[in-house]
Amino acid sequence: MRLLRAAAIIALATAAFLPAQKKPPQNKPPFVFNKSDLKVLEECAALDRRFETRALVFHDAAIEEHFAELTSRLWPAQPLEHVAWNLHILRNPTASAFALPNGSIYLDTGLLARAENDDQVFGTLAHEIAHVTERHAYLYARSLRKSVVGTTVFAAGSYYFTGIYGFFLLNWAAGRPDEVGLMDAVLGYRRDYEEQADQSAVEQMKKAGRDPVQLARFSLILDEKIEPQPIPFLRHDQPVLRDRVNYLKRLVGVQQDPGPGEDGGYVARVKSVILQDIQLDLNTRQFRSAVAGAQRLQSASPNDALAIYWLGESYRSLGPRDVRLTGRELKPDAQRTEYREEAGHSEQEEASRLAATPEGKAALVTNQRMAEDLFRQASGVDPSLAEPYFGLGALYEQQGKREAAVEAYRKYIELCPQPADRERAKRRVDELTRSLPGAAR
Amino acid sequence: MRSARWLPAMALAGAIFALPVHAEWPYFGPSLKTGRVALHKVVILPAQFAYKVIGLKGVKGGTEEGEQIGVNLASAVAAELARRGVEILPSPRDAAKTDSEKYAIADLETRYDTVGLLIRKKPGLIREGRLTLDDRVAGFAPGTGADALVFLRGHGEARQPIGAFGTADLHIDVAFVGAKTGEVLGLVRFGIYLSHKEIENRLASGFREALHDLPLPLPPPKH
Repeated sequence: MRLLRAAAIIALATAAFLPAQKKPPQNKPPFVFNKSDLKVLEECAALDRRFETRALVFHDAAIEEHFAELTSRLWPAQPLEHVAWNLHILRNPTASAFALPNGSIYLDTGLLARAENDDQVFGTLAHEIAHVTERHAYLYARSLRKSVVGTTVFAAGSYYFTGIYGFFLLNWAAGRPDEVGLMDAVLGYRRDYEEQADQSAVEQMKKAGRDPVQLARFSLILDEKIEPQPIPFLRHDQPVLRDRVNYLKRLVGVQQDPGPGEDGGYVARVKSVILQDIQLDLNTRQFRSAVAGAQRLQSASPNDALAIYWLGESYRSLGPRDVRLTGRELKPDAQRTEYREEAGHSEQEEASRLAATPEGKAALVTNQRMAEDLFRQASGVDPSLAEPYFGLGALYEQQGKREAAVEAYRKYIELCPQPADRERAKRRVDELTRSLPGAAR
Repeated sequence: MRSARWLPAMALAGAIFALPVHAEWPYFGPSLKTGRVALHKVVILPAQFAYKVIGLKGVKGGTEEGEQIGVNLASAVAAELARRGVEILPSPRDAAKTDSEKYAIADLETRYDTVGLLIRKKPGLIREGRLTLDDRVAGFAPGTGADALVFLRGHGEARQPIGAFGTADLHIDVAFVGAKTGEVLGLVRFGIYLSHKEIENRLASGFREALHDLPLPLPPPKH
């Protein structure tokens, strides 16, 4: 017994004084798919089909070719089980990107319209690819399922003891992980997953000779508020994107906020995407974003009649709003109120409400003057372009200049190739001529 | 004993909400009510239906099932409108061949959804004729010749295990928008509750009930 004790003491002492040996790096065990993961895959395929059939995927051969070249060095060399890499551009004015775990990566037109150069897009893609290679969607869905099972058991117990309240809890618990955890793939993951993806993106950018600072710059761009947003009451003072900017700055080793990295070549390349995005912005009442996109496009190609026209149309639609949210409007309370006002009124009612204020009146005059100048400039650059004349007609109609409006609409009817659009203008002419002084009653 | 006074009212409310098909009061705007716009020809846009299948471990999916319910909803609406003498023009999605034609449908849907936020919050504004998608809808080529565009929206969920304890709740909006003016002419809103069985029949009967008072070319069929 005494001998055994002495041997143990010697063994412990030897172990303590031996130099610590590093563990050999262990290979990550391969990801094993379970039944629920395969169900997630089925949902991904269904979502891909839904995006395509609803014409939400934007197709442009030249841009697709450019992005294929950009990403050629980015896709992992080794094939991954149940992953087929596909890059899509989603017709969505929100500035975001997401990756489905089946390898489908979606970049919103809103994101591409706000990026300044290829490096920023490259970094975003590398970030999304990391989510797929690290299987974040599956891991997150698994952890959610675990928590749901736990909550369901608890809720079932509550139901037994507390009746109806437990029933509501049970309902809430069962409905918690939306779309099998896929919503998290779309809306953003846990912070540790995001940081892991950022680290991977920075490494990939360095390896490919891209400037990793641009990833921090892009986060800064995305953090800029252009439209009033539904800011939550809780945690609004902890902006996630701002944290990400700081984290990325540390990661790439810069102290100051990175400055603009505008590349005119990039804007020219993604022109069709920006044009799409301006129209989507106008359809979704994001007039300031439309103006911002059109300004960039027009600066990159000052003699492009279509770019000039869309800038004019954006200013006309902006109406009594300022081009940018002012300092007061950027405060969470003001943004929340503004968002509520916008969501609670129709476009026309909202415009009338704002135009009744002194600031709104001033903004309306400025924006209408800008719109008129730009419409005239666009028709000067390309006299065969019909759209500026419709814009002028609508503008004069807003201003109550009915005769000028009729004249502009008639010019549009003369030039417009689309019968449906001509009919629309003819109806407006009919309405206006009926209301002109001296018209037969 | 005071609370006993409320029992009949509560029982009635319970009975209404327990009905398998429940049509809310339809919202018809002045243009439809006064006959300024008559619905003779309509274009039905593809339904958008969000559906979740929920098991004990949470959401199990439902994207594909939602698409199928949307297709069934569109055919139920088309059949019911046809019974009331409304001509259904060809589906724009089938007719769209080029990307720009497909985008035009998606853009129109987006435009509706933007106004749809307000429709969901304040459907009463439709009765005052205060909601519009703008006359930009007149530029939608498949809608040329139509009196109205029909937008179908819905969401629902099925709770498993389906069977004795499983339930399915569907909430459906059918909106009529003037094809030339963009005015939201009317909204029919109904729900299908408590059962996942015979959803197609319930969709048809729910829509029939909701359309009962709408002035259409043919009167509602007598039972």
